[in-house]
This record gives sequence, structure tokens and C-alpha cells, in this order.
Amino acid sequence: MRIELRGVSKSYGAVRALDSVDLDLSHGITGLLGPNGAGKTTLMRILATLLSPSAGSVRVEGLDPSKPRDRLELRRRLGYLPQDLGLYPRFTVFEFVDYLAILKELDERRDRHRRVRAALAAVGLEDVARRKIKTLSGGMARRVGIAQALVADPSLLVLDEPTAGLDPQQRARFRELLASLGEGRQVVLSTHLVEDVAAICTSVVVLWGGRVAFHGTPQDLRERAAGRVWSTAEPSPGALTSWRTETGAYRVVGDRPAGDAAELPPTVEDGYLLLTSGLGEPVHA
Amino acid sequence: MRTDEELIAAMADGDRGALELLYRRHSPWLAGRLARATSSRDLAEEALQDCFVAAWRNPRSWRGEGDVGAWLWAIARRRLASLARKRVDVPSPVPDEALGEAADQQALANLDAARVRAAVDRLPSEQRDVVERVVFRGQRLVDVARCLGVPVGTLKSRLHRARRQIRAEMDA
Amino acid sequence: MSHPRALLPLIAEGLRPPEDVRAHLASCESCADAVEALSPLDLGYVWDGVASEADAPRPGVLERALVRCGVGDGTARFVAATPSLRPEWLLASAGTLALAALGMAARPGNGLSLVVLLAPVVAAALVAFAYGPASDDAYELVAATPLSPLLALLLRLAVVLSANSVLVLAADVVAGGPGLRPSWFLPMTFVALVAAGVGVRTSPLLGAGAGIALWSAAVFTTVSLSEEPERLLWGAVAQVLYAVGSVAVLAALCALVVRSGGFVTGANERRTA
Repeated sequence: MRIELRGVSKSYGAVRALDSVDLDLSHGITGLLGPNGAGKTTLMRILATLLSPSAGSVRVEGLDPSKPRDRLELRRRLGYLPQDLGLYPRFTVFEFVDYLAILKELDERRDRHRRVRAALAAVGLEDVARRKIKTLSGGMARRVGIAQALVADPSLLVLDEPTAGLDPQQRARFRELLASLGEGRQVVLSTHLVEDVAAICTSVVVLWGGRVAFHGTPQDLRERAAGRVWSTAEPSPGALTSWRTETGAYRVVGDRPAGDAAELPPTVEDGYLLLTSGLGEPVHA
Repeated sequence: MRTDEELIAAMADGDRGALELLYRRHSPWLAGRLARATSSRDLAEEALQDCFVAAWRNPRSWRGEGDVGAWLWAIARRRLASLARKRVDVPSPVPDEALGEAADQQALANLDAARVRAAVDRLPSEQRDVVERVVFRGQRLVDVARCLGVPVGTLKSRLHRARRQIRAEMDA
Repeated sequence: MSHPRALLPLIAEGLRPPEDVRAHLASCESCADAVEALSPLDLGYVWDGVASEADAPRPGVLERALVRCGVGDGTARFVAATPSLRPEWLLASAGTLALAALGMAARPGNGLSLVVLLAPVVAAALVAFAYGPASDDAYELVAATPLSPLLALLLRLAVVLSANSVLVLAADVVAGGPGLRPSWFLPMTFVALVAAGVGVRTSPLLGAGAGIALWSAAVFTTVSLSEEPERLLWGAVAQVLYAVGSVAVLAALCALVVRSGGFVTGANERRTA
């Protein structure tokens, strides 16, 4: 799988959600970071063949989603988790995933049922397969959404906020699952949690006001904060962030504070904060 | 501990755990019989699956008489026969008399652990080694494979040959 | 009990063991592993199959009927999942029409047929809630599957209109009408399609409202303007207009769905951008 975006823009009336985005993504897990309204969901929907850009071109493994035949082929290879996940409350968990599996052209009944069970097992829902969806917690419902995205063994996974609503254990489990899925296929996920990206992604795209503000590895993003993170005894009001840690010292991100300061190793989050602090207020779509 | 009869009753109330227990109790011997009844492994596996699915969907077809195992075998046998009819490439299954209760009772009557041990001892050494480790010492197949540096598939086929040989000696 | 190890090779060859041994197999991990290794069949694989079939719900009446008529599995499941074919929707529609029919039956031969007047109203409500981002909870998921969006739209419209036709037919017969007559079918279809079109672009409620408002306006205008409202509402000229209007609205709706690539976001597109 190879994804190429050239000059992709999307406007809703006067609002520009995406503004000439150029991106090249290859195998692995790409994390899309950015505040609400930065254009993440618009980009995800374009990749999921649901929106066509107002301008620019999209190619996924050479397929052009604006052509009906290519779009159909792409939908055969796609697993998609929307941000606003709608489920049928009266269906059972198994029934719902089976419904999507049948629409994804898994016609052989027994084989399909096995795949549904395997997908439910992958997200840890095999024991609630016969429960009605309306009885599930939010985190479980989200996992039903992930299971339906996986069920037809897609080569492209587009996951919009997959970790929203999951508790820390479930998030850890989901990261393990995703890391195993990332081999041999293309995964694009959006998140507002920098830690998700740091944990599993092989590349990061930061969207800001509909533009690509950064594209590189999580390490690259972290390196942006090298030499900009400090430990001092005093708070540093002029810095980007400055908080008291459990040791009593202040952790400061920004220019070298006055007085005694020791350099600390940066995190991906520091890199993200430094990057976005230089960009000004994002335009809200 | 629940009896088979209680498991069937629980299944009628939609208890999936009861189905799993019933499967763990009965699938090993049903699998053996189905595999002896047909040369097609696919068909035997399909019949075994159908048997338990039918038991799950219609547990009330058990009338409460005789052994639950006999009821399951009757379902499995019927499923195998009807699956085999649809497949021209598979010879029809061995008739039930050759596999049924009489042969079983004979084997059970003859059974004694010392005779099985003796049959195991007469196996070729490669087979004997695997049976020794997996069956009598309870080692897991993957661990044995790692220990001996032999693929799991090879060990499986040694076990299959050993199993047939032991049964043949016991039936004799 | 002690491990019945010597029995395991024989069990794996088809010997039915006594009940206590069977119970042991279900509770002892080590013996279960050994017998699974010995088994000529893949017991774990078969169990996955058993469990998946046990968890899979049996298809409903409508789905089974469609499959028996030769409809594909996926199509049948998609039709059966139509939001406005749920029992409460059909009951509400049937109830409305039944009331009208009973009213008619109580006072026969009295002017306009209530059933025929209500048919488009009920259809507008059912059809507006049959397809679209706001009425189908899983619309966005379904839109990203290979199911043809045009086929999806047409299937949902056809099945809901058919269901409604059956209800109207029955009600008309109960009310003493002839049942099959041209007077209700075309206006019902036209009003329903208008409701569907407005509904897909805005919201199902607005769609249903638009269809009902259109029909009410037509009825009140003709009743107040003419001595013979039947002629104006159901005469040959009106029927031709309904037919032409239906084709036009349907064509516009299909064009909208095709052009959007199957993802009609309607009024809520900007909200979730």
C-alpha cells in the first residue's frame, strides 16, 4: 500500500478544512495528530473514499477514489472506523460485525462466521458476542467498531480516534493488536493522544489549520525538543510549559531558564508542544 | 460437577459454557470415530462441527434416554452421511456397525493399562518417544518439538501412526 | 481421579470412554492437550467453527424469505436491516391505515377514501426513514463497504414502498374499496420519493414533513377549489403528473447518490468536519 496526496484541499462553503495537503505514506502505522478542527476527520474520510477533495488528487496504491471502479476496489481493501461510530443497538455484537462482513462481500457463511469470531477475539469481545449492542459500555462499543474494521482482513486500515473511550488497559491491548496489524499493511489512525503515536506509530503527521505542519518519525518529532527541556529549582513563567514534578524540581520546556538548569531528555510530547507553539492559533473549521 | 444431562438442560437455556464443556468431553472420541468412518478429514471436521451446532440449536431433540454420547454419535453419523452424499469425490462412510458400540465395549473390556504400555513399547522408537513425552508425561507438543528440534507436523504424524497401531493391537 | 493416560490414544481413535473419564478430559488441561495432539482432527479449529455458528444469530423471517427468492445474502441482510421496517414502524403504519379503514367501513360510500388519502402520508414517513445518514445509524460504515450506493438506495426504497403498498392494499380492501386501483399507487410513490429526496439531503423528519405538507396542500387545494376533488387528485392528468414527477425525483436522487460516491452527508457534513 502506498498513499499519495497531491495538493488536496477540501472546503465546506467558506471554511477550508484541508489546504493543499501533500503527503506520501508507505507501509506501517501513520499517526495523525492535531487539535479538533485541524482537518483530521476530513482527511480520514477522504482516505476512506467517503469524501472527494475539492481540489488535488488522491492515489492509494495507484487507485484513484474519484473513479467509481477504483473506488469500489479500494472499498474492498479498506477497513474503516469512523469517529462518530453508529451501531445498531438491537443487533447482537456478533450480528453487527457479521452484517458489515457480509456487506464486505464475505459470502461464504461458515468462513465469514469464523472470521467474525476471530475479529471479536482480537479485540477481546468473544465472550460478549451474543449480547445486544445497547447493553455495552462505551469502550466495548468502540471495540465492536475496531472488530468490524478488521473483519475482512483489509490491506488499508483507516481508524479515526480508535483509542477514544478506551481505558488504559484496553489502550495497551489495542496498541499491541495494532502493532501486530501494522506488519504488511497500511494503517492510518488519528488521535489527540501524543502517547499513542509515540508508542506505536512508524510515522507522524501533524495537521494544523488544515495544513501539514510536520511529517516524520516520532523520533524526529522528539528531537525537535532536544536541548529545550530543563530541570530547575524555580518555576519559569516565560517558558512554554513549566510544572512541578514529583521530585520537587520544575520541568521546563522552552529556552534555557535563568539560574541553575540541567538538560533533560525530551519526549515526543515536548516535540509536539514546541512544534505547535510556533504555529499560532489553529483556524477552527 | 454437572452431568451430561445437566449440560444439555443448560444448553436449552442458552448457556454457551455448557456447550463448551460438552465439546471438551465428547469431541475427542467423536473425532476419532468420524475420522475412522471417512477418509476425508474435511468432511469429518465438518460433521463434527455440525453435530455440536445441531446439539446447541436443538438440545430438546435429546429425549433423556440412554447416553448423551450415543445421541451425539447418532447426530454426527447422520451429518457425515448427508455431507458425503453431496460429495462425489469422497467414498461413502464406513457403516456404523463396524465402529459402533459393540466394538467399543469389546475394546473397553480388553482395556488394561499394562496392555497399552506393552503396545507402546512395541512401537518404533521415534513414535514411542513422542507418545511417551506427550501422552504419558503430559508435555506440550510445541515444547517437545522445540526440545527435539523437529517440526510439530512431523510429531503429529508420528502420533497418528502410533495411535492407529495401538488401537489395532488392542482390538486384536 | 488420576490421569487416564493409557486411554487417551484409544479415545483419539474413537473409543467412547466412561463418563468419569470424559469429565476428566473437560477439566484437565494436560490430558486435553495430549488428546488434542493425538486427535486425527483439529479439535481447536472445529471448536472455533462450533462457537462461531452458536454465536451467529439465525437470520430473520424477511431475510430468509428474500434468500429463498434468490436474493444474494448481502443484499438480503441489507434490506432486512432497513430502519423503517422495524416492527414498531410497521405497526404504527398499519395502525394508522387500519383506523382509516375501519372509519370508512363504518360509514361507506361517503366521498373521498380516507385510506387512499392517507397512503402517501404513511409512505412519506416510512421512506424518509429508510435511507440516509440521519436515519441509518451505521450509514457511514455501510458507505465505506463495496455495496453499490445506488443499489442500496433503490433496494431500500423498493422494499419500503412494497411493504407500504401491501398495507394500503389490505386497508383498502377492509374499507370496502377495490384494493388494487391506480388512485393510490402513483401519488403515494411520488410523495414518498419527495420525502426520501428531502430526507437524504436534510433530515428524515424534514423529509417526511415535506412529503406530508406537499400532499396535504394538494388535497386541501383541490377540495376547496373543486366540486369533484377526486377527478383533480386522481384523474388521468394527475396520474401522468405523478408518474413524471416520480421519475424526475428518482432520477435526481440517483444522480445525487452517484455523484457523491455513495456518501451523502447532507446538512451534517460541516458539523463533523
